[in-house]
Amino acid sequence: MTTATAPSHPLPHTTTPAGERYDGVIDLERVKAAHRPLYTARESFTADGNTAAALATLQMWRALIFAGFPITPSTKWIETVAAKVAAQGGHRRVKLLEAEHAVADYLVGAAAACRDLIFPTATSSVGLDHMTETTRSLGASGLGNVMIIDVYRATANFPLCIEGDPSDTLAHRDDGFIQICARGKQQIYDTVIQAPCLGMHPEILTPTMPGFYGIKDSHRSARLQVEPDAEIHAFQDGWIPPCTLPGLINGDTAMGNCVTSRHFQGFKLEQKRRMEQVFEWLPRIGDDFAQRFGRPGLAFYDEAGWPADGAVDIAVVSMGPDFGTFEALRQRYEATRRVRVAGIAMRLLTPFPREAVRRRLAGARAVLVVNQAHHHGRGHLTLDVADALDALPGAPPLVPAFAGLGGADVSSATWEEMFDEARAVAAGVLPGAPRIYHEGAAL
Amino acid sequence: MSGYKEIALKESCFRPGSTLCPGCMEAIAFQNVGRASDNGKKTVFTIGTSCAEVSTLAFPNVVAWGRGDAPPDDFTKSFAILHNVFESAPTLAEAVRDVSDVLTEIGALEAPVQVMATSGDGGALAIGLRSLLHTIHRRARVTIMVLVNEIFANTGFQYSPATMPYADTSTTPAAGETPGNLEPPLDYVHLAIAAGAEMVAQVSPAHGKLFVKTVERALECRGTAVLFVPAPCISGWKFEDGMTVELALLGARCGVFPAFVWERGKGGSVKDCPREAAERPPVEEFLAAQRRFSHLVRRDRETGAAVVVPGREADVARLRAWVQENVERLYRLGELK
Amino acid sequence: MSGPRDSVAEVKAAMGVPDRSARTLDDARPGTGLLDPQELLRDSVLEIRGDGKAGGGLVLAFQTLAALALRDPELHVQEWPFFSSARRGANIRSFLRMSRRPIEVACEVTRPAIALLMDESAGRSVDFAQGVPKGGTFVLNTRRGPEECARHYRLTGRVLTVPGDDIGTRHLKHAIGNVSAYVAMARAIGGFERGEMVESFLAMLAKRRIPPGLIEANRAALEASDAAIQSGTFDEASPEDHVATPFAGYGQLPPGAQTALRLSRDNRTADYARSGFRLRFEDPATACTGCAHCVTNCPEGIIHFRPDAERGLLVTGVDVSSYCKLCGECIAVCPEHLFKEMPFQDVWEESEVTT
Repeated sequence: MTTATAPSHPLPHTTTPAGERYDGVIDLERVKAAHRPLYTARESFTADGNTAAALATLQMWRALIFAGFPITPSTKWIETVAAKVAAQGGHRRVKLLEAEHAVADYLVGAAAACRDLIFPTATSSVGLDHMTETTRSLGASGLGNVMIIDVYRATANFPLCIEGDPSDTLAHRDDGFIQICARGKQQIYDTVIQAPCLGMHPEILTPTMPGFYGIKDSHRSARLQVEPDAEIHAFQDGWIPPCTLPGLINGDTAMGNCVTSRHFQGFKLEQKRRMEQVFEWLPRIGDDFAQRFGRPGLAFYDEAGWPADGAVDIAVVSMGPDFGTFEALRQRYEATRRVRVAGIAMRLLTPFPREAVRRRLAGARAVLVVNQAHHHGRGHLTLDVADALDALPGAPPLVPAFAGLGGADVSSATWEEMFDEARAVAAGVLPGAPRIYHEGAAL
Repeated sequence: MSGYKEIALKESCFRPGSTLCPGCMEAIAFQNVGRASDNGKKTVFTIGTSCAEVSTLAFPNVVAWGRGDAPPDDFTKSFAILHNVFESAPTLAEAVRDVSDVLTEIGALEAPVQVMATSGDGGALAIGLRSLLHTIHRRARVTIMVLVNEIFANTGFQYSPATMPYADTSTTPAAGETPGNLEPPLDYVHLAIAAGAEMVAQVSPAHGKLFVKTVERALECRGTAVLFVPAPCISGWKFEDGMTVELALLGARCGVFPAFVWERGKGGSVKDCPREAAERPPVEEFLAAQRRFSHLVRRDRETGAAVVVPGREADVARLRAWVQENVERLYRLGELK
Repeated sequence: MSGPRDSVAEVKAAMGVPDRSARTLDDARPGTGLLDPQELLRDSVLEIRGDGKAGGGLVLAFQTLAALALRDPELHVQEWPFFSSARRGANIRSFLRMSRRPIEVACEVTRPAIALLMDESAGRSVDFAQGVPKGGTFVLNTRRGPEECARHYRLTGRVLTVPGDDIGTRHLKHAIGNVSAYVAMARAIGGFERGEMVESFLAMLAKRRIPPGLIEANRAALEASDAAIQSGTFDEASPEDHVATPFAGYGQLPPGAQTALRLSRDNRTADYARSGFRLRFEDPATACTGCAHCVTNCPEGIIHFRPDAERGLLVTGVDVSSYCKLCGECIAVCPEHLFKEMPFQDVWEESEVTT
């Protein structure tokens, strides 16, 4: 039916379950060679959380285009990126879209265009909410090369609050992203570096949402040690192979098909299976990071105060920088009240590491769960922990508490009030309804 | 052989087997665009949620895209299509464009890539107006095709900002005294020009040669080319089988959606649609062919003439006036450079 | 109608296939009973399923049937269509449950006691008889007779046929069978007086503000339908027929539903064409001017041609059996009128029967 013309660009191609992939279309070595390093040696300086996250993304050779939109408290991420890209020159671009909806759509188009490049952005709160139709699509898409950094901020209005609590990330639990919480500048930087290794793993192919607390981490400065770009590349390259599934540029493929109820469940099953591979690979990536860089890598949680036998009176489950206050108080409280107190700060939020948490908490007499996001019931984290402990015969009672909503200060007095409640439960008092704690009072 | 017929020799990237209604103008547009894009460049399409998407991109057996019967050895004949959400086609296209450009600049991508976005008037003019105008504003070097059937067809033919006056739709029904939609449609041609498009056209495949030339020009455009394609919808407008192309031609000629091509710096022109109403086919002929206007105009069973429904004379006069204003507005837009 | 039957016999004879007349249930095993819809209505739930094409009147037929049932204050109904996004031509299904007890069950109907085939072209890609229990009832909108249908579709049970499209054409100027299907279904269910059936249907039309002339035409169609129903009982199915393949998992699904291209080659949309018609291209005198308008206006891109240096693109044919939806654009656009719509009836051969 058509006139025969000599092929103008013949290339070898491979059949994959997702269409045809053409080899030799994009020369990734050239992209890597074009990278202009930010750091050629280890350096140490003060930085805030947004800067730490921004630097980590800038150091990746696979990150060529930075799309973003400002929103408190993540604005400094895009500002830092814009400043560095402008100063460095080269081929990188900052893409300022008109709204977060556009940012999210842009990430999809870019990540689909070339599945070997990483496309990061940062947002918060309602900005993340604007992205939702797309984030829920991304979560199922197989585009593990998208990274949306969520700088936690209380979501929604009536009243509006621009300070940090993880209600935004927790409202997006089922978008399908791998959600990891980081606390402290170093952990923020390190988590952002490791996240794409997890998301782009061929058995996972799921976008990542590393996050940290707005204000309490985004706007506080502390020492940050940055690695030389070349070391980061070597680490990431060890984990990120060229994607075997086709992208738009190198593929003959269709992405974003629709289905009927006949097949939909099957796709959700497939999506869940890939997500659960995170339990397998996260610790391994974390170990590799620790070996290379000499400090802890990704883990399901941080822990403090656990004896070898795991037997404690009070186990605390929390997340974020306020856990640091717990760490500072723990030993003194143990000594004065003569109880054993230990805690974990969740890092992997979604998928929630049920098994690991169950094993960790099995020896506790009471589990204090500190929720920092508004919830219609006993708290998002409470339900996760309850689910984890569900299979345990004789599971310890849960003491759900709310503190720090909207970035409220979680003082020593507040911690002690929560400990006291947990101590009573450990001693046999029945847990009451969840309370909100502030300035040392239970409300 | 003339250039127009040469197009038919190209390999379309759109294939049979879609679940689009028989005679859907969108399918005709895709066939022609599909051929015009067989030009030595890799083609990437982005598509917003629409009839076009759910009917051509459905797992497991309705992916009606691809050149040739098997993945081609010639990379430039390969094809990729991406669907995300309702309003995202222009933004997706912009992203693909940017990634291709950056890779090309670095020297990591040698083969040229052309990018096209396609949405309905819902996805580009209602919820999609934001993404359409901003992608244009940022001068993204993509072709944006907006299939204008004047309704949200996929959800069952509801009112859209492109619905013409007096049209019966499921949310602006002609019932009782209400004669259908009473809002004038959005002046989308003007908006696209004002937002900074390099090229703006309104033309359907019914103007065969013009359509193909326009698509080819759009694909060569150095800025954003926006192509509004009037798409008579057999199920939504309710007309007889086999009348899609005829109605598209009639609607253009009588002034409801005149063929128009405009380029920045050169200006534009209205084609095949005289300024004087007397020189154009009467709009009643266009209305009589569609049951969505049966509350205004009917076809007489004996004579075959288009007859205004008694009591609706004032409405039809207002509609004629709107059509005249529509034509004159496009003539004026043609003068903008 | 003698035409089709003769040609089937002729074809069989030509192929050397032995002819066998349809066996009736009574000839077969003793004690094989027919399902009684009235009994099901009374004691449990009467389940009904219909297969047709979008735009072909199936949904309307079921809605009018549900409305008929609801005239009896003791009857409960549950009625719903299932279709994907396609609006015209694609296969759709409709479901109806009726009972004297409140209906709570919400799952799909997979073992309907009565199955309707509204559009024979829909029946080419789906087994409309699937899951019908032994002794069920089959209703077909077809020109063919019950015996022929029983043999072709391998049906065991009661078979009712009615030439709905022809009745629609004659009385309503529209080849749509929903009026006849409604009447045949009502008869299959039983327990309705003719007067009731007619008045209920007409009342529904009046509610939709159909003009009185058209209402009378519908009355004539209803009455003609009732008179045109043919029925019989047969035993033509073997035990392996009409059994649904059990669900064996989703298989390997690609991440994000990303797929290869060209998968629509398996979606034979020629069945979208109006039942009983096909496109035909004839150009014995090479009148084709080579203008290529048909080629560029075909939504499916299935017009074959060869380039001619003088004239342009000379049309050589159309792929009607796979994808032609009979949209009619080529018919309208060809200046030489080389495309036509021709009546077409499947020649049923043994190999065409699907289960």
